[in-house]
Amino acid sequence: MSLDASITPVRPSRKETALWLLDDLVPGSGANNLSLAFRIAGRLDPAAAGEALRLLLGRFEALRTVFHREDAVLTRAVLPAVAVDLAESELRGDERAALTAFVARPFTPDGSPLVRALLLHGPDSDVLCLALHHAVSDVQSTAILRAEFVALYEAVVAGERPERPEVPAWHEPEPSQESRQFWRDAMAGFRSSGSQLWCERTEQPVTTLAGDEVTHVLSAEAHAVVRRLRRELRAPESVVLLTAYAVLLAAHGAGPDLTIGSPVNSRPREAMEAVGYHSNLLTLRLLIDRSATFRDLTGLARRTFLEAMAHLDVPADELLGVVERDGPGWRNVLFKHVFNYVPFAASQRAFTVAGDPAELIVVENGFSQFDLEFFVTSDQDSATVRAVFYTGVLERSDVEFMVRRYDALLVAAGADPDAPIAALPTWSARDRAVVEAANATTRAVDLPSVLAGFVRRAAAGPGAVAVRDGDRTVTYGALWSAARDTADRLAAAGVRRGDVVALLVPRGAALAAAVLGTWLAGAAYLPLDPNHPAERLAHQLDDGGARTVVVGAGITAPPGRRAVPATDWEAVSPLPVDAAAASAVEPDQLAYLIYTSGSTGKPKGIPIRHGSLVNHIVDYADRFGLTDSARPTGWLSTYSFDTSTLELMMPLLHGGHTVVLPDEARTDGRLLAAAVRAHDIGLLQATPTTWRLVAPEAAEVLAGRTLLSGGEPLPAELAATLLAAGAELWNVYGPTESTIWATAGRVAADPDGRVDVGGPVANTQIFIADPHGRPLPVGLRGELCVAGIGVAQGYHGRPELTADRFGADADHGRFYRSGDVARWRPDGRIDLYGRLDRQVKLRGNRIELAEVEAVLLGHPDVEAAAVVVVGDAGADGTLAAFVRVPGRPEAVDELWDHAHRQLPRSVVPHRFIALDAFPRTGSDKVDYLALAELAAGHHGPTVGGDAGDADADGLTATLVSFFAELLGRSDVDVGSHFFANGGHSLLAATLAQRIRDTTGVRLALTDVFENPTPAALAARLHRHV
Amino acid sequence: MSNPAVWSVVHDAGTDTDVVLAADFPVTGRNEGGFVDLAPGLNLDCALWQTVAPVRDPAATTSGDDYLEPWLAEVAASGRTVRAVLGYCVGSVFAGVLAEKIAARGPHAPRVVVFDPEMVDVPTVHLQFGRVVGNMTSVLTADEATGLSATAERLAARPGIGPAEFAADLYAVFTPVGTAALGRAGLDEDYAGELVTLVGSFMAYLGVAAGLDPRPGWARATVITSGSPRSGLNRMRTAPGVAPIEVADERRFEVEHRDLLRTPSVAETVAGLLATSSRTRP
Repeated sequence: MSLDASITPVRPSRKETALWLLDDLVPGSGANNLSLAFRIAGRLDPAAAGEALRLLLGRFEALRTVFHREDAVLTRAVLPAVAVDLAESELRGDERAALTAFVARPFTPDGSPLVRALLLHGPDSDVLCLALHHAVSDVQSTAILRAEFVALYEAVVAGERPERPEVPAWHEPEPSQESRQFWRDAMAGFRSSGSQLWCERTEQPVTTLAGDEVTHVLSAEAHAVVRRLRRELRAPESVVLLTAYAVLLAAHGAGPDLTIGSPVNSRPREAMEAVGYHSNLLTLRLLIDRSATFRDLTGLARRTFLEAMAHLDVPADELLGVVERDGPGWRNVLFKHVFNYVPFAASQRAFTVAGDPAELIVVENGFSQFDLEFFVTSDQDSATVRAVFYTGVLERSDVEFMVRRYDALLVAAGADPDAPIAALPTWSARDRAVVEAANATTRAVDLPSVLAGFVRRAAAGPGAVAVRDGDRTVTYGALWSAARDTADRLAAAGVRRGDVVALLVPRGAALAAAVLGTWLAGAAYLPLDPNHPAERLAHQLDDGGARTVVVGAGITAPPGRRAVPATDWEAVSPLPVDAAAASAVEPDQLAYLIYTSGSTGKPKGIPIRHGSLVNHIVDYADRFGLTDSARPTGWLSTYSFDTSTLELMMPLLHGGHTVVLPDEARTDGRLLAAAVRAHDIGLLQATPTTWRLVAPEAAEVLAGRTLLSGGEPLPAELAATLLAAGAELWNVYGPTESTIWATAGRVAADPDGRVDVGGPVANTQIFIADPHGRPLPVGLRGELCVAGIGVAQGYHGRPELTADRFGADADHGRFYRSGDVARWRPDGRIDLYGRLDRQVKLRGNRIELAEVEAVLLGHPDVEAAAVVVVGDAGADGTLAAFVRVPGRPEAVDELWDHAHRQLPRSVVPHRFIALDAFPRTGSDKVDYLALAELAAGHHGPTVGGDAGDADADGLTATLVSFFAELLGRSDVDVGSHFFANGGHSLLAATLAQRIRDTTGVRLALTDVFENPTPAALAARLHRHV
Repeated sequence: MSNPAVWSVVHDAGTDTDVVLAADFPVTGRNEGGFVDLAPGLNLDCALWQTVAPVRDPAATTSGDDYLEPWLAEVAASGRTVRAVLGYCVGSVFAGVLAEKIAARGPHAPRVVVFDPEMVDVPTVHLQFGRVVGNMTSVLTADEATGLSATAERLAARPGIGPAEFAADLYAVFTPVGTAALGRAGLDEDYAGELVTLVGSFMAYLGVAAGLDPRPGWARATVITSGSPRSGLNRMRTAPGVAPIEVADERRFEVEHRDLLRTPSVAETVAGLLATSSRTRP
C-alpha cells in the first residue's frame, strides 16, 4: 500500500522510530501491540459496531496515523480516511488464546492502518477487541477510546447520526534542555551490565521476545503491610511496592547500581484527553546500599521517583547515548526490569454498553519487551501482581518463585522496616520447603569406621572373596592376615598411632592390605601415585609429614624415608580375625590425608576422618545397591584420587568383592568390556572423559549395571548414550574437601540440557551462597557450599587457605566453599554450572565456558571440547576452543557455524583448534591452564616469508614494531606474515593508518594484503618513495 | 610494459612469457590458502596473475560483461598468451567465464583448472556475509552484530529474493553500522571507508558471480576437489535444485577446503597440468 501523494509525510520522533526498530530487530513480533477489549453479556450489533469503529477512526487523527519505510527511511503521515474492517468470528477453543493471537499479529510500516478490530462471538457473550500499534496509542488512550466507542455505538444503535468533531493528533513538544541535563546527570556512569539476575539464562541467539506471565494475589498479610507502611513511611503505596521490587531484584543479583523502568503518562494537563503514544518510560536509578533499611530505601525511591516525574518529558530512547553499553545485548540498555503500578478498582472494570453489562478484559500480545515486568494492581481489598517475563531469559518457575518471595519480602519489611536490607529474608515458604526437604539427610550410621565394617565381615566369612586381582583371588581372611602383617611391620618400623604413612603401591590386593594395615596400626594413609614425578611425591611426603612409606613390589622407594615393603599376601600365614582390632581407630581419627592439585600452586593436603569416610561409604553402598547385589565392583580409579576408595571399600562393608582393573581399561573400551563380562561387574565408576572414550566399545556390556560418573560435568549426550546401553546411571559430585561425593543423582531417562547432580548424601547439607555468603533460594546461581559430617577440618598445615575456603555458621556448622557454581532446581536437585573461575566476563559479556563446551559437544563429530580465554578478558581477550574430532578432522571447519547457530554472538569462540588428546591434571581432569598456555602459543599455520633479513633497515624495524604491537606478539621478524599470525582486515587498516601517519605514504589496503610481511611492505614503501 | 592494474602479479617471469590467470578474492587474512601459497609449488616458467576485484557498489547494477571487461582488456593489451585460467571457490565462476571469453577472442583456448568451484546462491551470500560480520566481532557491539544477523535472516527469507539483490541489501544494511563501528575502533574516515567499501566490493563480486554461467567453461575444466563436504562440487552435488555439473576431469585430495591451495600434492598435480598445457600449445 502506498501513500497518497497529497499527504506530506514527516520524520517521526525518536521514540516512534525506536518502536519500529524493535519490530525490525525482532521480526514477526507484536511486542509493540496494545489491546482494548471488553466482553458484553449478550450481543453487539455487528453493523452498528462497524459503523462506530468507522466514526471512531474518523474522529481521531491519531488512529489514522500510518508509518512508511522506504530505503531505510521511516516517515509518518496522517491519512484523510482509513478503512478498517470489523472482522467477525465464532469462538472455537480458548478465548484468551484466540484474542492473544489476534493482538500479537505484527503491524508493518508500509502505510497500512495501525488498528485492527475483531468481534468474537462466544456462546453467550461477545468480545470486541481492538489491536493497536503502540505508535498510535497507549494505555491511557485505550481508556479514552473505550468511552468514545461506547458512546458512538450507543448513538448508532439509537438511530442517531453522531456528529463529533475531529480530534487532531497531539504532538509532544521537544524535551526541555533542563530535563535533558537532568537525565544526563542522573545516568552518568551507569553501566548496563549490572542488571543481570542470578537466575537468568544465557540469552538465546535469536531474540523472540516471546512472553509469558504469572499472576499472584498478595497474601492478606503482605497487603496489610503495604497499606500500613505507606502511612508509617509516608510514601505512596506505589513507592512502597516499588521499593520492595528493587530489594527483590537486588536479592536476585541486580545492582547495587540498579535501574527499574516505570511507565508514566507524559501528557500535560492540557492534553489529558489526547489519543496517541504519549507515555514514557522513566528510568529509576537506585543505588542499593545493603546496610540501608527498608525505610531509608523507600525514602530514596520516593525522591528518585518524584524527581524523575518532574522530568518526564525526555523519552527513555533519548537516553541511550548517555549510557555505557557493556552488556551482551541490544535490548534493554537502560533497564531490564519494569515496575508498573495500576491503581485500579475492580469496579472500574465494569460498565454498560447500550444497557448490557460489559467488562474490560486484559489481552496480552504474547510478547515481553523486558526481562520482567511487574504489573501491580491494588485496591482497598487486595493487590495482585501480574509478572510478565521474556521466556528467552527467565523460566516460568523462576518467576513463580519471585512473586512468592516478593510477598515474603513485604511481610518481612513490614515486621521490621528498620532492619538492614541485607538482613531481610528473601526466601518464600516454598523455597524453604524445597531446600529443607533436600537437606533432610540425617540418618544414623552406627559403624565407627570402615575398618570396623571390614573386620566384622572378615570375622563372619573369612573364606569369602574380598579382592579379585588378575586371575588370583584374595579372601577376607587372607586380606585380614596381610593387613595384620603390614600393621605389625609398620609398628616395628616405629609407626605410632596418629602418624601418617604414605602408600606407594599400585592398585591391587597389596594396596588394600596396606590401607587396612595402616589403620590397624592406628595411622592414617597418604596415597601416592607411583606414576607421579619424584618432585611431586617428595612434596607430598614432606608436607604430610610421612616418614614411612609402604612400597609395592618393583617400585623404588623415595630417598630419605623409611621404606616398608608391601605385604606379599600370598606368603603370609593365615591369622585368626581379631574382632577387637576394629577399635584401633576412632571416628574422629584421621583416615587418610589426600593431596589435590588446584589450578595454581602446590598440591594441598586434605585430612579426612574415619567418621566422614564411613558415613559416606555406608550411604553409597545403600544408594548404589551394593547391599543386595552379589556382583562385584570394579576398582578402576587411581588410588591417589579419593573416589577410588569407594570402589574398594563399599563391597568390603557388605561381604562383596572388588575387581582390580588395569589403568588401560580407562581408555580401552574393549579391555573394560572384557573384564566386565568376565567378572560380571555390577558397578563401575569413572569420569565422563573415560566414559566417552570407552562407551563405543563397552556399551554392549553395560546393560543392567550401575555406572557412576563424576569429577567433571556429565554431558547430556553422553548420559543418553550410557542410558541407551541399558545402564543405571548416577551423576555424582563432590569436592575432595568434603569426602568423595557430596551429592548423587540418578539420571532419569531421556536427559536433555543439563544433567543435575541430585541431592546431598547422608548427614550432608548443601547451600548455595551469594557473593556475600547468604544462602540463595531456588533457581539462583551461586557458590555451592557443603556442610555436614564429610567436611574436613581444613587443609593440612595451610591456615590461610583453610580460612579462605572453609567457614562455619550457626545454621550449617562447618562448611566448605567449593568454588563451583550451582543452583537448586525446583525439585530439590542441584544443577552445576562449572567453576566460579570458569565464569568469565569477556568485554562485559558474562560467559560460562562450560555452556559453550556443551554446545560444541552437541556436534556429532566432536568427542571432547574445552574452551579457554586467551589474553586479557577485560581488553583484547578471545575465546579459543579445543576439540577432539578424531573421526572427521575437517569437522573443525563447521564448528563456527555450528556454534553460531546456537550461541549468542559474543560467546562464539574465535578459534577452533583440533587436538588428538587434551592435557590432563593428576586427577584425570582437563588441564585448562595448560590449554590456555597452548592457545596463547598457537598462532595458526606458520607462513613465513623471506625471514631472517638481519640487516633490517630503520623502516623495516618500524614495521616490525607495528606488527608486534598490533598482533600482540613479541616474536615478529621481517618475514612474519601478518594474516597468518592473527592479523585481520581491521588490523590491516589500522596498520595502514599507522604507516600513513608515520611515513606520509597512504597505502591501499590491498597493498597490505599483497605485501603481508614487514620486509615486503618495506619494499613496497621504498618503491613508493 | 608497466605492471597490470587490475591484476596483481603473483609470479613474474619476464616481460614476454605466457601468463596463467587466477580468479579469487583473497581478502583480509581469511584462513584459506590463496594462489600466493600455491604459486611456489607450480615452478612456473611463465607469469601468474591474480584478479584484483574492482571497487563496486553491489547496488549499482552491473552486468557481468562490464565487470569482466577491464580484466580481459588488460590481458589483451599485454599481448601475452594465456596458458591457463585458474579459479578458487566462487572465483571459479569467473575463471570459467574468463576462459570462454579468451578462447572466443584469441587463437587458443586456455586450460581451465578450478579448485572447489562454487556457484553463488542466496545461502552462499548469507554465509559469506556472516563471515564478514564474524570477522568484525572485535569492533561490532553485540547488539550491532545481532542486529545485522537478524536483518540478514529476515532479508534472506524474503520470497523470491535473488543472490545479487540480497548482496546489495546486505551491504546497504552493513554500511552505516560498519562505518560507525570502525570509527569507534579508531580508524579514521579514510580507512574505515576503504574497509567498508571492500565489503561492498566483495558483495558485488558475489552478486556478479551469481549472474554468470560458468558451466560451458567448467565443462572442459579440470576440477580439484577437497575433502570438505560443504565445499565445491561436494556441496553442489548434494544441494537440492542444482543441476549436475559437467566437468572434464576431477582430481580429489583428502585435505580441507581451506588448505587446498597450500597442499604440496595439489601444487604438484597442477604443475603437471600446466606443464602439459605448455607442451601441447602450438
